[in-house]
Amino acid sequence: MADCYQSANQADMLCRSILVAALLLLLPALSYGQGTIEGTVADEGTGEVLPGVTVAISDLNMGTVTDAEGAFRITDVPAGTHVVELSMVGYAAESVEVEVEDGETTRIDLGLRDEMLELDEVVVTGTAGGMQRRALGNTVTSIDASEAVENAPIPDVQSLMQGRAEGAAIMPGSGQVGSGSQIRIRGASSLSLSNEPLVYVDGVRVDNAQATGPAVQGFGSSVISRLNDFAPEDIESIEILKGPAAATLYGTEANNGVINIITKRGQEGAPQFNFTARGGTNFFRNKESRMFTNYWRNPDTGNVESLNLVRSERERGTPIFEPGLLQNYNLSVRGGAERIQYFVSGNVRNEEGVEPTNEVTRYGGRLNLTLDATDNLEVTTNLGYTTGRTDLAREGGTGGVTWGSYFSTPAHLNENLPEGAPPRRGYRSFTSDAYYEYDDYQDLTRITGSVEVNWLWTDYFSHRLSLGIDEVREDNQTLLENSPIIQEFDPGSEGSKFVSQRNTVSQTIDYSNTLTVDLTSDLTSQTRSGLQYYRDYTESMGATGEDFAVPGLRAVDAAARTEGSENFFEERTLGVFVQHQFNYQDRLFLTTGVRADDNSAFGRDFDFVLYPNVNTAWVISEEDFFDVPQVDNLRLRASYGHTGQQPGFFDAVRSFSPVTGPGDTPAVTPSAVGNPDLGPERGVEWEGGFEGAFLGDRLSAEFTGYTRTTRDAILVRNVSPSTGFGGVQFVNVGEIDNWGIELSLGGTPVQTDNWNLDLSASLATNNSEIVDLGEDRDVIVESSAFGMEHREGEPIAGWYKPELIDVQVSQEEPNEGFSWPVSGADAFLHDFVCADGDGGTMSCFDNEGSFMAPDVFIGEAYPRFEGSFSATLNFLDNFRFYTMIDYQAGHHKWDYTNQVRGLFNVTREQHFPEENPVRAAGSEFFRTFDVHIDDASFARLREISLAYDIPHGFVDGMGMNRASVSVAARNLYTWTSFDGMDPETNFLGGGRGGHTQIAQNEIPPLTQVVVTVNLRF
Amino acid sequence: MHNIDCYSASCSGLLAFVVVLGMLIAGCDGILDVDRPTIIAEEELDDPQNAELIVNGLISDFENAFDTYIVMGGVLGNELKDGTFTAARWPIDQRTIQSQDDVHPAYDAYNPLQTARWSADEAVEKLQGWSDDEVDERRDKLATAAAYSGYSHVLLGEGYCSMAIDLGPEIDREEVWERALDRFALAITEAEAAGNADMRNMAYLGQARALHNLDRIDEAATAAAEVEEDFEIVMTASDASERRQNSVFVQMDALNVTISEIYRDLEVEGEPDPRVNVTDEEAAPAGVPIFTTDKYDSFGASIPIARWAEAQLIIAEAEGGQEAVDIINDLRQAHGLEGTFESSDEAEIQEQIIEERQREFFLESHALYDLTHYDLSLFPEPGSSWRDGEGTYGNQRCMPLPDVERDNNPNI
Repeated sequence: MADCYQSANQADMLCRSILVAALLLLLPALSYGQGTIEGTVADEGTGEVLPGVTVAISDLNMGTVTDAEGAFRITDVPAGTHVVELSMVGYAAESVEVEVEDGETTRIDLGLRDEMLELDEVVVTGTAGGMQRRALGNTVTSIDASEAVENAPIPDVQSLMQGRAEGAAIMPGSGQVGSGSQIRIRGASSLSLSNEPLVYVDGVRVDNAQATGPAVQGFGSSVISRLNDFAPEDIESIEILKGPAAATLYGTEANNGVINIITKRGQEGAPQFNFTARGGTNFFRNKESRMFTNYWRNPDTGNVESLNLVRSERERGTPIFEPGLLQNYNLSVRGGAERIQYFVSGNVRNEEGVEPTNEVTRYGGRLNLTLDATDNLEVTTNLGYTTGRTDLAREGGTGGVTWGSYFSTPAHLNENLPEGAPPRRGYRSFTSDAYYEYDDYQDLTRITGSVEVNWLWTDYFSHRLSLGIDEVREDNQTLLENSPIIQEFDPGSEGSKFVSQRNTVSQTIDYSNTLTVDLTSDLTSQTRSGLQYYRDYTESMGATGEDFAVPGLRAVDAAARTEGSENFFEERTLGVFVQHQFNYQDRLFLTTGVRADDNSAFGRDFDFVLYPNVNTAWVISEEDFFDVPQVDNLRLRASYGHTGQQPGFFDAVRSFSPVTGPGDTPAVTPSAVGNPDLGPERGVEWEGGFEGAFLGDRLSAEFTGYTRTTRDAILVRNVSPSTGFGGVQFVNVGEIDNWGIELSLGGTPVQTDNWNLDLSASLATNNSEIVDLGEDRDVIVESSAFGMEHREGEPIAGWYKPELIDVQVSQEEPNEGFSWPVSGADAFLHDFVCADGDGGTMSCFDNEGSFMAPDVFIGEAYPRFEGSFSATLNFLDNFRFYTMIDYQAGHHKWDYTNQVRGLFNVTREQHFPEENPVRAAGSEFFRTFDVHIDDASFARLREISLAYDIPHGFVDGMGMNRASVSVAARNLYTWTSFDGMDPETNFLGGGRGGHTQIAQNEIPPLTQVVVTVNLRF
Repeated sequence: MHNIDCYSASCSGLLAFVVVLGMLIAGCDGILDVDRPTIIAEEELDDPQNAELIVNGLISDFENAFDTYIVMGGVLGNELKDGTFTAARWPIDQRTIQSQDDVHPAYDAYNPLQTARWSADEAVEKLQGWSDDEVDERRDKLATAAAYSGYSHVLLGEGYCSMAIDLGPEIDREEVWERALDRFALAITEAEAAGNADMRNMAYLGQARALHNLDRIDEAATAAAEVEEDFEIVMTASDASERRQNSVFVQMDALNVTISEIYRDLEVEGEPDPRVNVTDEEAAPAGVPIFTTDKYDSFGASIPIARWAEAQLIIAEAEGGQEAVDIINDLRQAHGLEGTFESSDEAEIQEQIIEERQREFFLESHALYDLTHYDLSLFPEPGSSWRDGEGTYGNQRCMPLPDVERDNNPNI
C-alpha cells in the first residue's frame, strides 16, 4: 500500500478509488445500529465547494470522496462517536468528531484551509507521471490558474504569469490589445540565442514564438506571442521549471526554463457547467496630462508656441486614443462516469484598444477526455483549438498616431504650414485618419492535441507514451490601399500589400517508464528512463504587391509589381534519459540522472551531448528528532544540473543562397559563413533552498538561491565583410554567470468567522556577469548606435555612453572653448563636463569640438529585482477583495521618445535651456550622451478586484450552484521615475531586437476595467 | 509489491537507456537529417559544372552592389539628398557618418561591394583551378570574373576612405586600385584569348578609371584609347526580384531621395540639359521637397557601368586643348545638344571636362570620387544648416571604414 502512494499521481488516485470501493463493499457486513453522515466540504477561505476531497472514518475503514458539488454521504455508519478525517492535496488535513445515532442522518458542513506547504502535490518534471513536490531537489513554481482567473481580469497567459511567478519577468512591448511580451526566467543567460523558455501544453512541446505578427519594418513594438493563444479559462495550472537544475530532463533547448501548461480535466460526477461573461473597457489613463507638450519657436513672431495634440484634437472634435470595449464569454462543462471523464469548453474574446485599428477577436474550444480503460490503463486525450484575428495599430518604428502625436509640433498646425501644404493639424507626419488607412493584422488558426497512455504494467513498473502535435497557421498581412487620404500627404503612394504566412508543426513523441522497487521497508528505489523525439517544421511564404491602380484593389495580384518568397525550416531533436531516485522513508530523497541529446542544428563535427543532474530533498520536519517550536513543516533541498540551448536551424552550415542573376538567370550569392564545430550552449546550475510552514500553518516561506553558468555560450560574431560573407557567425566561446535568490512569503494574518486575509509577497533577484567572450575580444557590441554592449566582467546588455555631468548655458556665445547653439533658443551650451570613467570628471569636448569623454557604464537592460505583493480579503461571507502590485527594478531603458523629440527640436528644454541645461544638451547631442538612458524601475497596481458571491439561498432557487459578480481593474496606477511614456514599453518588442530595450513611440499599457458575471450550474 | 533486488532494478533502467542510446548513436542518425531546400551547401559550388552559375552569381552580386553604391555616393556627395523621416539615413546625408553607425541598408554599399569582390575573386580562383575540358568557355568566364572583380575594387576605393581585403590589414585607396589593376590585366589577357570584346573593353576602361584615380592620367588615356567606340556595359536591372530592381529608381519612386538643388534646371547654351533631366517638385512627405529624374524611369531600367564616353573624357583630360574641346562637343551632340563649346584656355577646358563628367555621368557612380579627385566644393557647404536647423552639414567625402570590419578583422 505504501508503494501505491509513492507512485505517480494518477496511480495514487487509482489506489484511493480502489480503497474506497473496497470499503464500500465491506459496509453491508457492518450494518447494525447504523446511521448516516452527510454534508459538504468547502474552501474555508473562498467558500468554494471542493470536489474530490477524501472523507474517511479510519477506525471503521469507511470513506468516500466528495462529488462535483462538494457533497458526501457515508451510510451505514455504526452508531457512536467517530472521527471523520478530510484530506485533499493542497489543503491541510482536518478531522472532526461526529456523533452518529441509530437511524439518523448527521449533517456536517466542513471547511478546509489551504495548506501552506503542499508537499504531496504532484508536479511535472519531464518524467512519467511527474513527481511529488517533496521529492524534488529544486523549486517548481505553480500558478493556480483557476483561482487567478476568478480573482482578476486576466486577458491572456502572460498576464496570468505576471507577478505570480517569482523569477519570471514579463516584459511587454506595447499596450496594444493582443500584443505580447518577452519572458525572462532568472534573467537572460544567452547573448546571441533566444532567451525565451520552452513551452509545453499537456506534455506536448508547442510553438513558443514570442514575436510574431505583421512586422512592417522587420521590427516593431506590437508583437503577438504564441503563448497567449491558450485561453486562461481552460488552464488548471501553470508550472515553471526555472533553469538547468530543474529542467535537465528537458535537455537541449531548456536553458531558459520550461513552462508547463496543464489544462483542465474532467472529473467523475454530474455535468458541472461554468459560464463566465466579462464586459468592460480599455483606456489610455490620463492621456491628456501624459501626452507630451511640444514646443516650437515661430519664426514670424519669435514666440515659443506649444501644442498638446490630445487636447487640440479633443477640442477640434476628432479625439484620439479613445476607450475601446471588451467582452469575453466562456462556457465549460466537466463531469463523467467512473471510466470516462470529460472537460469541454468554448470561449469568445473580443477586445478593442485605444485606436480603431487595434482589436483582437478570438474563438476557442477545448475537449479533454480521460478514459480509465482498465484498472491499469488510462488514456487521456487533449484537444485545443483557437482561431481569430488580431489587428494592430501602427507604432514604434512604423509611424502611427503615436508618432504623429508624441512628436507633434506647432509648426505643423494648419495656420503655420506653407501655402498648399496638406493640413497636418499639428501631427508630425500624417494625421490620424490617414494612419487609420493602414490595415495590419494576423489571422490565426491553431490546434494542439495529444494522446497520453499511462499503463501500470505491474504495480512496480509503469509506462507512459505521449504523442502530440501543435499546428499553427499564421496569416500576417499589411495592407495599404491606393488611398486619396494618404496621397494627400504622400502623393507617390499607390498602396501596397505584404502577406507573410507562417505555418509551423511541432511533433512530440515521448516515452518514459518508471520502475519502483522496495529495497527495504524504509528504502525505495525508483528508476525512470525514457526517450523523446521532437520535430519542428516551419514553412513560411511571403507575397508582396506594390502600387494599386485604383482605390478598392486589395489583392497582391492586383498590384503593379509583385514578388513572392517561400522558405522551409526543420529541426529535429532526439533525446534519451535515465534517472534514479532513492527514497528513504518518504522524507529523504537522492536523485541522479543523465540525458543525452542530438540535434539537427548541431554542426557536422559535433556529436551528441550529455546533460547530468543530481538533487536531494529532505523533509526534515518529519524526522523524529525535529522539534522546533512554531515550525510545522520544513523541507531542505539542493540540486545541480545541466541543460542546453541549441543553435538556430542552419547556423552551423556554410551556405549560399539562390538569387536572380543577370538576364533573370539563376545565380548564387554568399549567404552564411557557418561553423562546423557549432554545438549547444550548456547551462550548469546549482540551486538550494528550503520551504516551510510556520506559526500553526499561518505563515509559509520559500527560499531559493541559485547560481548558473552558461558554458560554451554561443556568441554572434559579426563577420568581417571583407570575407565576402558578412552577416554573422555563431561560435561557442563565451561564459556567462547568473545568480540570485527567490523568496516568497505567504500568510494569513487575519482569520475570523467573517474575515479572512491572505497576504503574499515575493522578491527575485538576478545578477549577471560576462566571464569570458573568447580569446580575441572582451566586448561585443549589441548596438553601436544605442551604446549597448556586452563587456567581460560586466552584466549582460549594459548601456555604455559618455555621461554628461554638467553644462552651462549663456545667452551670448562664449569667447573661448567649444560652444554649441541651442536649436530652439537664443542661447549657447558650453563647458560640458563628463564623467572620466575613473570616478572623476573631465571636459567632454576639446576647444575644437572634438569629443574626448569615454563611454561609461550607465546601467543594464534587464531588471535585477522583480516581484509582487498581493492581498486577498474574504469578508462578510460573500465578499472577496483582491489586489496585486508587481514591480521590476534595477534596470535602465533608453527613452528614445524623448530623444527623438529632441531630434525634432520640440522639447521644452531646447526652448528654455536654462531650466535644465543637461537635458537640453542631451536633446541637442541626441546620439552622444547618456541623458535619455533612464532608470526604468517601476511598481504597478496591476490588478484589483471586488467580488460578491450571491447567497446560496438565492442561487439554489435558480437551479445554480454558485453565482458571483465582480468589478476589477488592471494597470490602475504606476510608481516610476522613468521620464518616457511608460517604463514597460519596448520599441523592439517580444525579442525582435535582441537585448536592446528602447522605449519609443508605443502605446503604454492600457488601464482596463471589467465587470464579470460567473454562474455555475 | 514484488521484491526485486536493487541490482536488477538498476539494470533494467540502465538497459533501456543503453538500448535507446545505442539506437541513437549507431543506427538512428538518419532521423535527425533535415531538408534544406532553400540553401546551397558550399561543396556544391566546387563542381565545375556549376561554373556558369558561379559567374552569374558574381555579376549578380556586383549589380546588387553597384546601384546601392550610386545611391550612397549620391547622398554623401552632391547629387542626392535624403527626404525621409528615417533617422538612420540622415548621418550620410549630413556627411557626419561615424564608423560605429549602423548604416541604413539603402545606403550600405560596403557589404555588397565586398561580397561582389569576394564572389568574383573566388570565381577567378576556381576557374584558374579548373581545366578547359571541365568548363565550357573557361577563359571567357575567367575574363568576366576578373573584370567584375576589378570594378568592385575600384568602387571600394572611390567610396571608402580605407578598407580591407580578405581579412587583411587596413589599406588605403591607392593600394586597392593597384589591386584592381592586377584584376584588369588578367581580364584583358583572358578576354583577348577568348575573343570576348565586351570584357576586353570593360577591362581596359576599368584600368583607365583606376589609373585616373591614381593620377596616372597618361597611362589612363592609353588604356582608354583601347576602348572601342560606342562600347557600353550595363547593370541589367529587372522587376524579377527586389534585389534586381534599379535601386536609384526605387529610392526616387518611394520619394526617399531628392535630386540636389545644384543638379536642377541645368542648361547647355540656354537649353535644358537632357543628361540631367529633373522633374518639378513631386511632393514633400517629410518636409523635404522631392525632385526626381527620368534618367531611370522604371525598376528595370539599366544603369551604365562602363561606356565609351568615360574613355573619351579621360582622353580629353589627358590631351587637353582642341582635342578635348572636340570630345566635349562630340559627346554633347550625341545627346542632341549643339556642340558649340569653344575655348583655348586650358584651365577652362579642364574645368569644363569636370562639368561634363558631372552631367554625363549623373547618377552613374562617378560623382562622389570626383569631389575628391578634383577637389570640388561640397553642397551645401560644411557647417551650414541641415533641414532648417535640425542638424549641421559635415565635410565627409568618403565613407569611414565601418566598425564591423575594424572590430572583426584580426589584422586591423
